[in-house]
Amino acid sequence: MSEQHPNPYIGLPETAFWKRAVAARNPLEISHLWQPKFPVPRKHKVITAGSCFAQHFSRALVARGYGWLDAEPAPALLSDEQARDFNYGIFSFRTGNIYTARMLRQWLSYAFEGEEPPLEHWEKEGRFYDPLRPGIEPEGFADLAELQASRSAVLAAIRNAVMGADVFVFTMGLTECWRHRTSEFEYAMCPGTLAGRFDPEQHEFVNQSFVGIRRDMLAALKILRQANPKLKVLLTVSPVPLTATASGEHVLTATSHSKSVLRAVAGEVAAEFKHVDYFPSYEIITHPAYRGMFYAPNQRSVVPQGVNHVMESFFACQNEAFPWLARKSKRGGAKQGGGTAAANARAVKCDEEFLDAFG
Amino acid sequence: MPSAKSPARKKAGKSSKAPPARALKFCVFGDSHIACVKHALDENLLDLTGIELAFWGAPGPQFRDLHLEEGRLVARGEAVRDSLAKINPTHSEALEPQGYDGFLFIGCRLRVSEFVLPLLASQPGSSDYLSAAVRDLMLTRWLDGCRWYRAAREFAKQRPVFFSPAGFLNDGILSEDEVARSVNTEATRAQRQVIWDRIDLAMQLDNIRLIQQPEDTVTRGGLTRAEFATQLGDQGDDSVHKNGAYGAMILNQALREMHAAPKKP
Repeated sequence: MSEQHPNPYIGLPETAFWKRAVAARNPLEISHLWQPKFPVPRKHKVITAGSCFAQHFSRALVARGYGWLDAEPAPALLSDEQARDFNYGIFSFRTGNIYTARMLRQWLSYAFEGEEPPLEHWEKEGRFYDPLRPGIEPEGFADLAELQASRSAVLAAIRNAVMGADVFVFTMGLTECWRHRTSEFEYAMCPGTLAGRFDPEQHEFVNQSFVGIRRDMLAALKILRQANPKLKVLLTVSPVPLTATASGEHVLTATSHSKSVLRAVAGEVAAEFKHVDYFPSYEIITHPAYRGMFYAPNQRSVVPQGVNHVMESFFACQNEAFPWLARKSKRGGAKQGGGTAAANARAVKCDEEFLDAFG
Repeated sequence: MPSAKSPARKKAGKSSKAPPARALKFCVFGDSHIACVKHALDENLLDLTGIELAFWGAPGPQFRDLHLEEGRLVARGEAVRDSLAKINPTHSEALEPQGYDGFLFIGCRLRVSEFVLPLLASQPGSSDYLSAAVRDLMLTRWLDGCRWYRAAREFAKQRPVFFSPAGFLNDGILSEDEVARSVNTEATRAQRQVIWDRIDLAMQLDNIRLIQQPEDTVTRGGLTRAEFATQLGDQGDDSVHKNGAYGAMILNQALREMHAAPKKP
């Protein structure tokens, strides 16, 4: 038996070794995937935005009695279903899905930096649609004035949310997007899908690069920091594959490329800033160690057990890193927010479903 | 609470050779909000010319024991029947639309604040802005979600029905923090009227006539002036109920419209 010389791997924790941390374990018992930088106690106000998967985060927080901040709540007279149809209570403000870092930067620029949103609007059958969030009202707006008044309200909600929150959870979703060729304004969806008219002279496909996404993410973080210096940011990457790609690649390889780039940006940015962290929900769902068990048969939708496992991991890692959170949680009991049942009943809404149907 | 007969009607009956016109039998139905009309009666503030006035309803939890069955309101439960026996001895079991010539539904858990205040806050430029589609859904839910409004709808198929929702909360009772959170104190008469008109239109489709809260009783955008708050109990902490002056305005308006309505042959 040869003598083992001292080296940097000796004394590392179990989680540093694949054999013991992954291969030897039941996938559901893989643990300590995340060492959180900051605690998220129940009293903190958490805001959520981003891709479809971010919706699960808000629901899980509400279900566990955490302080999810809804800055644009539904009127009390709407039913849960009506509220959902009109995109209330899905994210902390009614932006709809924010799939890219550029879209996040755009919204924050409009809300905080006095940037003027585009004058462009889409009309269909006498109704008016906002290119920033075309699916926000199921039948569009009655007129342009209503569209703009509603947009002002969401910008106010973004300001209130960012300035009043302790933690901002942002789920990065896509690298592929559609932009206006001259203004470089990025659309929430490709013109001509839900509404609007696609014009190749005006609209261009962009598959964003690592450098571009990182630049937009840094710019967004800067605006957030200026608006609320105490705000912590938790990045996640959506594990939901692309519905469709316009890149010319196979949708599977395009998905792999997109998610890899997003994951790399999230990791780099989190490594760079103390107030930014990355939570590996993406890995929990997508990694081969989990054998695809958290995907529905379409290999795209994430089943509730997967979401639950992600969120259990989140809270377990939080409690492990900050044991006082667990003690407080025990004392406080499982506080169930008033909207728990509603939140549980709420299905995840996703603009991408439209593309799936009509794309 | 016995029926109140008009002295004017009795006098007219004695002095005329023609057979006296039958007094219109008019019923005020509601929860504890019917009290403001009774206060008005007791304070002699009502114009009951040609009217035979009656009350039907119950306060608080008993009100929930009144149910619409086969087009009439039925009292289920001993407590509510006992209450009704005191208020309207001839109709202690049930209220049928055919029993009266017209009805005023007042209060009845249809609260103006729940619908009108969010809309008053929803002005263009406000962070509480709501689209017209959302406002329409809210109105439908507000009306359809109230089972006594649904009862009014059934009654309106047979008799004239007026509906006066529970008015804005009384000024001076809510904390200023609460007022700041829930009331657009800058809301104007014109802004309120747009909303009343929308409610009126929806009620007209159900053949119900809205009796809106009189503008003279409104203050600070969406509250009821303190001088129209009930003085009962003198605790100064009732944010909901109104006094006789308020009740008189509501009933007199309903009766004016009842008299003005074209008579059916």
